[in-house]
Amino acid sequence: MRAKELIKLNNEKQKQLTEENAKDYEDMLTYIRLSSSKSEQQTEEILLELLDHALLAQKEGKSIRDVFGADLKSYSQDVIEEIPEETKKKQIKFSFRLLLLFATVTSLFSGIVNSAMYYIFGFGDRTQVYHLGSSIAIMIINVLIVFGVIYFVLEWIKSSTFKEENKKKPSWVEFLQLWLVMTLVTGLFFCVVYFMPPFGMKFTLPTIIFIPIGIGTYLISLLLKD
Amino acid sequence: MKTRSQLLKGVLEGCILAIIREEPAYGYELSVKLHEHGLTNISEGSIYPILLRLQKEHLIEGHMQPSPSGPRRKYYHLTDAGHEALANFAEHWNTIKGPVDSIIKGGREQ
Repeated sequence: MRAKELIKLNNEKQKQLTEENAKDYEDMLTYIRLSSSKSEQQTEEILLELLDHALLAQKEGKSIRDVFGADLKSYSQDVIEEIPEETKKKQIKFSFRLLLLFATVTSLFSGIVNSAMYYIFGFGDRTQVYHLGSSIAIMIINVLIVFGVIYFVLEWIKSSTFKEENKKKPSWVEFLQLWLVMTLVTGLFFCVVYFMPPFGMKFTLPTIIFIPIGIGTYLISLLLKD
Repeated sequence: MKTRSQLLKGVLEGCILAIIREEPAYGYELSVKLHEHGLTNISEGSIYPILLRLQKEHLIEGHMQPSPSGPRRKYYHLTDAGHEALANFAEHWNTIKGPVDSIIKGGREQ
């Protein structure tokens, strides 16, 4: 069975857990699943095995903590440690797909906004001057920011697992924190574009060309999908 | 605590290999069998990190198969390397269990 089917089966079976067990299992699942760079296939196989075991034990009146120990976090770490690494090929493919999706979003955004400004509202120009050096520098910095954000979000979700109900932050605090971070990141993207000094070869492009470029990067990213 | 778990891990590896050699088994079944043999002081969950490690070392292989009760489960069976590792473990165990027992009992020959 492939990872996708295993995830589906896992979601189905989780419904059979009691409320208390469901909460504990969800913590383990989130924590183990978000340990990046591990083989997705192996991760999903072991997650389903743990769930199957928990369900059989539950029938005998045993809880998840009875089966896997009171310290579920360190148990999950033991499991993660033994899951094999994802193949380099898959890791690279996945990173490329992320990059292409990021390129899609930014190209479509700038293509649509700039063209709409010009063709609909009569603002700005039909074409824009770009500098090869600064364009590449902006791209590299923004890509690094994207990977930084992904890393931050994964760690942030992981840190929210294995908390007793009464020690959890209220959800509005979590929302506010995430909102603040996302606002800062968006601001950062624009700052990079705004403050980057122009350097390198100059070239002029019609802004509308970023719409087909965005569609192109999206189509390529589909090819990299498993 | 640490020594205890290290010791237990190595011994458990050998026991798991031995049980799987008799008959391919899935995780829950395996923990029941260990329990039946009297290994009751280990937590059931401790077999999973070991199963992962044995797979990584290619000593066992897991395949999804329908179980007698219906649902598909991941059944583990020994590989050739696994048979070899088990033979090694048994040999080592046999050479140390007598001496260790007698040392713990107070140094007298059995």
